[in-house]
Amino acid sequence: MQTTLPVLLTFIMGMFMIIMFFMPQLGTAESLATRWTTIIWGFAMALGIDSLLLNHFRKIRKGGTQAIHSMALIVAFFVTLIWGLYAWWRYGNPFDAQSSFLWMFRYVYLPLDATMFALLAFFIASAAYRAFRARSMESTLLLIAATIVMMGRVPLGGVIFVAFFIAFMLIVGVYFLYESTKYIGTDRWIRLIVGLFFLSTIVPLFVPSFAKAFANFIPGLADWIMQVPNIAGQRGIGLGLILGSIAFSLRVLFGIERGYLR
Amino acid sequence: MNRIWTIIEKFGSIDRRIIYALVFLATAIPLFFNVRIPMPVSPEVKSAYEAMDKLKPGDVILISTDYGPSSAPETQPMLEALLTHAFRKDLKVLLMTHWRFEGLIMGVEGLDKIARKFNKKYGEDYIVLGYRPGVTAVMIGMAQDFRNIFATDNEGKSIESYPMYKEIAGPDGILNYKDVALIIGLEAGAIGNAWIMIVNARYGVPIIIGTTAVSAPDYFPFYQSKQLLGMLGGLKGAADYEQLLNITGFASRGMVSQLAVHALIIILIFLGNLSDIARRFRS
Amino acid sequence: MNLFLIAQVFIIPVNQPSVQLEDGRVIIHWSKVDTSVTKYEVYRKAEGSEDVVKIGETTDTILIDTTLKPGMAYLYMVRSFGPDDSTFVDSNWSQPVALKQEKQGEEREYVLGIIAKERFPVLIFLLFFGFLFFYYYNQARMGKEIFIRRLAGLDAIDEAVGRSTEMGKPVVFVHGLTSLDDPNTISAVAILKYIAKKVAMYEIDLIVPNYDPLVLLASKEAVKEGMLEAGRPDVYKEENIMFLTTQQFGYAAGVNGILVREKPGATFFMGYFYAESLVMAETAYTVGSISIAGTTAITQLPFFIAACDYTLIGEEMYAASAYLSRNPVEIGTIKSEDVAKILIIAAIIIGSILATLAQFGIAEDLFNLYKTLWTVTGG
Repeated sequence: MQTTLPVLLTFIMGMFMIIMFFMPQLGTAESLATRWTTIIWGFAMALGIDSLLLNHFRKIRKGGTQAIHSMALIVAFFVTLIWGLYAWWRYGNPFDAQSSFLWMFRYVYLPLDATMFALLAFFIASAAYRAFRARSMESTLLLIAATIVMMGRVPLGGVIFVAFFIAFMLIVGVYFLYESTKYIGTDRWIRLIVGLFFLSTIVPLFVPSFAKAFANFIPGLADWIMQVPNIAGQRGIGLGLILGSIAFSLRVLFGIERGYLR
Repeated sequence: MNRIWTIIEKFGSIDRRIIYALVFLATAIPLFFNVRIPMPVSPEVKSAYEAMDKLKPGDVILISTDYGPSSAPETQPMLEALLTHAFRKDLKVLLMTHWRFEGLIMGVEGLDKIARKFNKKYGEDYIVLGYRPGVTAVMIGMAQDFRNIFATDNEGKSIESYPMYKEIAGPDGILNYKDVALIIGLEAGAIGNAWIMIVNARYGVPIIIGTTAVSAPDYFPFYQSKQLLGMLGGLKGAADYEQLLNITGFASRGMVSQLAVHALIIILIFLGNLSDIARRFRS
Repeated sequence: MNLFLIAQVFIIPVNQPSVQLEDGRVIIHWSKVDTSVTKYEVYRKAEGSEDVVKIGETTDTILIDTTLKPGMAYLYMVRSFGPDDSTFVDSNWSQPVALKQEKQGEEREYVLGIIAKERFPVLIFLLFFGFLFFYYYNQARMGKEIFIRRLAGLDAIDEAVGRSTEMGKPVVFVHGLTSLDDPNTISAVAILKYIAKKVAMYEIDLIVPNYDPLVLLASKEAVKEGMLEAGRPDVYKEENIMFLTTQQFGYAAGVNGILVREKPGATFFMGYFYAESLVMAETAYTVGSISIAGTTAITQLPFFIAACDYTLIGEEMYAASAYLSRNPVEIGTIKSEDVAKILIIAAIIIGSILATLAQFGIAEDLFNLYKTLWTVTGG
C-alpha cells in the first residue's frame, strides 16, 4: 500500500496531464498543476523553515565555536520577518518605494547576492589554472578552444593570442634545439628538425600584415567555435537529454522507477 | 638548467590565494580608467542595433528586466545602452518584470538614470508597469490587454491615466502586443525561451534578447533561425552595443578588465602547462 | 483648433484627397490646384470622433500614413498653406478607410477532432518511443541480458564513500535548485538513497543541505529508507538533513560554509544547477574532497567537468538509478533511448545528405519527398 498508492496517484495525474496537453480544449493542465504545486509548496515551506530554525536552535543549545553563526542566522531571520511584516502593515507592500524594508533589500540583500556571484571570477581563474592542462588529446583540444574563445571575446585578444603563440613556439623550439646538442646521430637530427619546425611557425608572424590578419582571424574563429561546434555539442547533449527524460518519465509514470519512493 | 626547470615546475602549483589576489587587481585597476578599446562588433549585436534603429519616434518598446543583482554586471549595461538608443530615437518605453522582484529594482534604477539624462518624463515618455509573477500566464494575459495584468503601474496608478497610454493604445483604448514595435527581454535564466515560444511564435512580435555570456549559446539557435531579431550576449554584447552608440559606458570599461583577467588566466594556464612539460621532460 | 477656419480666401483649396489602402498603410493623394501653395499639412480623425491629429506635412501631393490601428475607420483632410504661413485653407474630409482587424489569439485546428494539430507530431513521436520503450521492457522481463556501458561517475561512488570512511570524514550530498517536479531531482533522490545505504554500512555521517522544502521531505525519507535497507536505521541523524534557503546564492553560501567546516571526504552534486555550481564545486576541491557531479544543465556541465573528479553528463543522470539498482527491467528501458537516438541520427544524416545533393540539383525529388514526410509528421 505504501508504494502502490503513490505509484497509482502518479500514474493517474501523469495521464491526466498528458491528455490535457494533447487536448487543450479540455483546459490548461499547466496552470492547474502550477496552482496545486504552489499550494503544496507553501505548506512545505513551513516545514522547511521549521527544520532550519530547529537545526540552529539545537546548535546554539549545544554551544561551541559555531553557535555564534547560528545565533546570527536566527537574529537575521526574525529581524527580516518582523521588519517585512511591519512594512507590509504600514505601506501595504514591503517593497513599496517609501518602505525602509526596500532600503534593507536594496543595500544589504542585493549586494550580498552580487558578492556571491562575483566569487565566480576567482573560482573560474583557479579552476581554469587547474583543469586546462594538456594531459591528453581531448584536454589539449579543450585547452586550445578555451584559449581561442577567451582571447576572441575581448578587445586586443587577437594581438595577445599572437604574442602567446610566438612565446610558446619560441620556448618549445629553443628547447628542442638545446636538447639536440646533447645527442648524436638520428636522435640529434630528430630534435633539430622538430625544434626548427616550431620556430618556423612563428617566422610568418614577423610580417606585420600576416600577423595582423592572424590577430583579426581570432575573434572570428572564437565566434565560429561558439556558434558551430559548441552549439552542435549542446544540441547533441540536448537530444540525448530529451530522450532520457522521456524514458525516465515513462519509468516513473508506470511505476518501474521507484528509487525515490519508500 | 636544472635550476630553471625547478623554477618552471613551481609554476604548476601557484597558491590559489595569489591567483585570487591577481584576479582582484586585474579586475579592479582598469575600472579606474575611462578607457574604451575598439573591437569587432558581433553580428548578432549589430542586428539588434539595426532592429532598434529602424524604429520611428513614438514607437513603443517593451523591456522586461528578468535578472537579479548577480547578473546585473552583464545585463544592466545592456539596459542602459538600449535605453540610451531608445531615448535618442524618442521611442516610448514600457518596463516590466515577471521573474524575480529584484529585476524591477535594477530596471527602475537604470531607467531613471537614463531618462534623467534625456529629460524624459514619467507618464509621457515611459511607464514602469511593475512586477507580476507568472511568466506564461503574464505573457498570455498581455496578448489580450496589458491592463489584464498591469491595471496599475509600479506606483499604484492606473496606467490609463497617463498621457502616454492614450498615445500608444489602440483607438478602442486597448493596449496589447499589436501596439508594441519591439520586445526586449533582458534575461538571466530561461524566460527568454518563453518570450520566443509564446509571444514571438504565437503573436509575431519581434524580439531581442540580452542575456549573460553563459546563457547566450542557448539563444544562438533562435537567432540563427531568425526567431530573434538580434542578441546581446554578456558584457561583450553590451560593450559592442555601446560601441555602436559611440558611448563609453560600464560595459566598455568592463571589457578592459575582462581583457586583463582573460590575459591573466591565459598566462596562468600557460605557466601551468609549461610546468607540466618541464616535469615530463625531467622525468 | 477650429479646422474649418478659412483665414483669407486667397488660396484655392484641394477638393477632397483620395485615399488608398496598401500593405497596412494608407496613401493619401491629392491634386495641386493652386501653384501659390508652399506646403500641405495632412490631418486625420477617426470616424465618429472630433479628435483631429496632424500626421505629417509635405511640399509634394502625396503622403503615406503608416500609423493606423486596425479595426478603426479614418478620414483625412489636407490643409494648403500660402507663402505666408498664417494663410491656409482646408479640403473636404476624404472617404473613410479602415485597416482590417487581425485575428487575435489562436484558432486551433484539431486532428481527429480532438487532438491539437500543432501537438500531433509530439503524440506520434511519443507513441513511437513508447513502443520502443515497452518492447525493450518486455525483452528485459523475459530475461534477455541488456548491456549498458560503464558510467565512471557512478562506479566512483563506492570509492568516494570508502575514501571518506578511511579519512573519518562525512559525505555531503548537494541537491540542485529544482523541485520534485523535475526528473533531475527525482533521479538525485534515488541516487541519494543508494549513497545513504553505502554510508550506513560504513557508519559515517551523511549531510544533505536542501534548496527546496519538498525536496527536503523527500531527502529525509530517501536517507531513512536507504539506511533501513542497509540494516542500520540507528545511523540516521535528522539534523544532518536540513533546509537552507530558496535563494540561489544564499544556498551556495550555506553549502560552502558546510564544506569548509565539515571538510568532507566526498561531495556529490546531483540535480539541476545554475551559476552557483562552480562556486560550490571549487570549494569542494579546496577542502580536499573528491567530488562527483551529475546534472542535465548543459550550461553548467563545463564547470563541473573542470572542477569535479567525475561528472554524469545529461542522460547519464537519468540512467543513474537504473544503473545503481542493476534492475534488468530498468536497464532494458534505457536501451530504448539508444535505439531512438540512433534512428534520429540516421534521419538527420539522410536529410543532410539529401539536402546537400539537392543543392547541386541531384535527387531533388527524393529530398522534397523526404521533406514532405517530415512536414506531414510535423518535423
